[in-house]
Formats: sequence, structure tokens, C-alpha cells
Amino acid sequence: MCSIAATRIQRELKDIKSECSGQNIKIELHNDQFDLLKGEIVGPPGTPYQGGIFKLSIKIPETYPFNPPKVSFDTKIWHPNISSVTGAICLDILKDQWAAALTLRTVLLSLQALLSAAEPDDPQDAVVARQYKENRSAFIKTAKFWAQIYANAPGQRDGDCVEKLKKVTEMGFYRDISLQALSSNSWSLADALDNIG
Amino acid sequence: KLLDESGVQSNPDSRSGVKTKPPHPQKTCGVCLESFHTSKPPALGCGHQFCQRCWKQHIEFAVKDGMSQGIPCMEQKCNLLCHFDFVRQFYTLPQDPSLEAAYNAHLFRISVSSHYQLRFCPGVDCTYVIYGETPKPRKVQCTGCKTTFCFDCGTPPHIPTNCETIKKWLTKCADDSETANYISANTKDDKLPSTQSLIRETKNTFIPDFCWMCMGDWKNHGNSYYECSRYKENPLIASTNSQHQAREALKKYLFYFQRWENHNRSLHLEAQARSQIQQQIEEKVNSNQGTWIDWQYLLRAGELLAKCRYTLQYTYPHVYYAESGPEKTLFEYQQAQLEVEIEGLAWKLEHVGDYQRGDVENQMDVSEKRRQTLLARFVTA
Repeated sequence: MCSIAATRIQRELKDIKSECSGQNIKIELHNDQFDLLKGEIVGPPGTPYQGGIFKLSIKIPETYPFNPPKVSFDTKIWHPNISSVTGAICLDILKDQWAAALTLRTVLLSLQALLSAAEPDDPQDAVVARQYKENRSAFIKTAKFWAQIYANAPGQRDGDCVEKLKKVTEMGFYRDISLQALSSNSWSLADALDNIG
Repeated sequence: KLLDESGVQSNPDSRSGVKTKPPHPQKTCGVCLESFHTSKPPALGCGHQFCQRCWKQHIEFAVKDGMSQGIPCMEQKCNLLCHFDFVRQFYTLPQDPSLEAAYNAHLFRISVSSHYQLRFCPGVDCTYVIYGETPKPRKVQCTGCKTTFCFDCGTPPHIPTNCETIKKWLTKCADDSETANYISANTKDDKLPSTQSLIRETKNTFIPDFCWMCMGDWKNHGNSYYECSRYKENPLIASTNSQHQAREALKKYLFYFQRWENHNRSLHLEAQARSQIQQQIEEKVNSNQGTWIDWQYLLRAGELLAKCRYTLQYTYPHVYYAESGPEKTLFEYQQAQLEVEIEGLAWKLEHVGDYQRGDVENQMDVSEKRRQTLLARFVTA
């Protein structure tokens, strides 16, 4: 790792600690090499993700900050621009719009902004994007339920979702697989069971 | 600290309009987040200043990634690109020959490929650059490695098919040829094992003449009206269901693909045959049957055959994509004529002993004329 990357990460961490206590974002070192960091963002208010704590892993390439860090969600999330399976993110500043003057802080703030304003026309997860466009109420319901289950978001869980999820898991399917199937089929029990697996 | 304060105070004086800059302002580089002292930090016209070390790293990584002209400013959403003189200062002071070489190589590559009259030779490991007076699709040959290619698109020459069509065709072949291979492997050959083996076994004895292309009786072909190169479309196809249409589309593609492949294969086989001709000539000269110069026409015939066959091969993609109408009908007619002459020439060349020199020369002349007629419409002055 070149010296610029290590010193810059150190400085960034210091700055984030001092500046960002009120902004609902957090970054910490995962090891001593400065090449893997763990981040956290809180779901912004007014969105289905409100209050959820989403964990991120941030890989720092050797050429940082001249090339973008590789960021993905560790916490499962239902969002058109984030893969519901792998957590991979589709965001322009993590790809070709990266500039060396951007920082990890701006990246996390951009991700928070992405949670408030999805871009379904440039999707990472086609199934979610289609639901977002065609059945917005099902999308909001699903995204909220996922945030409550995986990201510990507060609030009363949707009774219908809880019941259907229970039904499918009682048939012997894992919770994650059941939830994925139900969500992908907009909570139609019959369709979900047809396409599960 | 005092200097720092005075630096802040001596900012632009709005009243007098005189700008006085502090001698050594301290700034924080937005990339490495470290402060640096310099009177003139490197910046592009946009004024985004970063420290010397970060600029150099940025440019080094960008050049390593294959960029030269398109290296952007490091500031977010700044679209300004680094120009030549700006980049130059980072490899001249201090001297960095590897960066300079890499940057110049990329710059050269970009300059050539964006110039409308210049093309890189597509030949393997060839470093020549081809200059063309007017950029248009035409056959050119590299003087270095002798590769021939289309000046416009860099693929092998493909007249009479145009650049777009040949691209579509080659992609289609790459995508579909496995299907084609499968079908040809499981249909035609299975149906005709006896004929195939018959041809192999009775190479030197008499076999009934048949058309290799359509496997029909050659008597029906003759010289009168050769039509094996034309695909007869089913006129009722529009009214049938989509499954039939799909099958018909595949049939049409396979028809043309087979002919394309056949000529391609023949080209390879005849390349081997040409080296045999060379041997035959030597034998003949050694056994006092004429002089070396007397037999040169055979070599010329071989070359002409290859040339005509190549042209013919590239007529099939054109016809496949051509819209039906009088133009296509005429083209198919001329194509069939050329096909007949080429097969005649190939036959005569294979059975050199049975034909006079005059016969072969005549056939060559006719073939070349047919080729020229076919291409006349496509050759732009």
C-alpha cells in the first residue's frame, strides 16, 4: 500500500470521529493494515429504512485515493440500487465518477442519500427495481420489513408479513430464503412457493 | 502563527482591487489531507490545487490504467482534463523516464486512432501506421507485414458487403455457428453418408456428377441457369405461425452460412493445392515439358481462384441482409454466374492434365470479368 493511502485513511478516520458524531455515520478500522474498514449508516428518516443500522464493508485498494474504495452492504437491504443477495452497490461515485478529492465520509453520506432517493432506472437488483416501479406499496412494505428484521429498525412489524414468513419457514425453508422468495413475489404466498429455492 | 494570521488578513483587498498574495500560504491538499507550503501549487485552469506528490501519483495511476488524454482533475465533478504540458512537469522534474515513455506511448496511440486518415495495422505485433488519403471502406495492404484489411473498420477486406453488415454477420456467426455446426453435423451428413464415403473412396474412378452445394444432380445445373447460390424464400411464410417463421429464418441463415463456410474451407484447401502446383511445375520443367515460364499461368490461375473465391465468400453476408427487389435479383444472378466460373476454374486447375493452356487462360479471363462485373457497383472511385 502506498504511503498516501495509509496516511490519508488515518486522517480521514480522525476527521470522521471529530466531525461526524451527529450525522449518523461511523467508520472504524477492521485490521491494522488500513485496507479493510467497517462502516455503519443509519437509515434516514422519512424512508422505509428509518432508524435501521446498516453495516458496510469498505475495501481500500492500494491505489486509494486515486481509485475508489470498494463498498458493499453487510446488512441485507431491499433497495433497487443494492443487490438483495450480495449487497453490491450501484453508485456512480463508486465507479467512474470517483474523484481523488472525495472522502469516505462523502461516500457514506452519498449512500445515505441513495437510501432516500433510489434510482430505479440504473438498477443493481432488477427484481427490486421492477417492484419499486410497478408496485410501490409492496416495495415500501418489503423494504421496511427487511430493515426491521436485518437492520434492527424500530416500529411495529407488519402483521401480514410476519404471518406469511412464519408459514413458509414452518414448511422447513430457511428464514432468509423464505423472505427472499416472498419479497420477490410481492408477498403472494402461492407465487413465492412456486419460485422458492 | 503570526504569518498565518497575516496571510489571512492580506486576502484580496476589495476596495483597491489589488490582489496581494501571501508569500507562502499554507494549504491542505484535498487528496492526502496534509498541509503543504508552496507558492505555486500545481493546478489546472479550474484552480483546484493539490500537492505535487498527489498529482504525480494520480497521473501515474491513470497512465498505468491506460489513460493519457482523458486524465481528469482530482476534484469532484470537475471535468477539466490534464493537458500535455501539465503532465510533462511531473515526469521532467524529477526525471521519470518510465512514466514519460508510458504517457507518450498512450498519447501516440490516441493521436493515431483519433486521426481520420491514419489506422494502426491490425496485423499481429505489427507497429506500422497506415495512411489513407480519403477514409472510406477499401482494401489496403500493410507494407510491413503484408496484412490486408478494410481501411474503414480494420477487419479483413469484405467487398461487396459493407462494414456494418459484415460486423453484424460475423457477430451472428460467432453467436450462432455452434447451432449451425450442430445442425449440419446432425442432419446433412447423417442423411448422406453413402454419398460422402462414395466420394472419398472413388476419388479416381468415375462417379455420377452431382452438385456439391445442394447435393442434387449436376445435369440439372449445367451451364444454363445455376441457382444454388440463391435462397428461395417461401412466399407463404408471412401467413404461417411464429414457429414456422423461426424455423424458416434459421434455414435461411444456415443456407448462407453453409455457403460462406464452404468457400472458406475451399480457400484453405486451395492454398495447399497451390503449393502442389509449384511442385508440379518443377517436375514438368525437370522432365523437359516446357520451360518454367510456360507454366507460370498455373500459379496465376491459382491466385486468381483464391481472389475470386474470397470475393464470392463475402457476397453471401451481403445477400443475407439485402432486401429483396430487382437489385438483389440482379446481384444473385451475377453471383451465380461467378460461382459457375469459379467452380469451372477450380475443376480445370485440379485436372490440369486434361486441359489446354488456352482453356485455362480463357476461364481465368471470364472469371475475372465476372468478378469485376459483380463488384462494379460497390467500388467507389
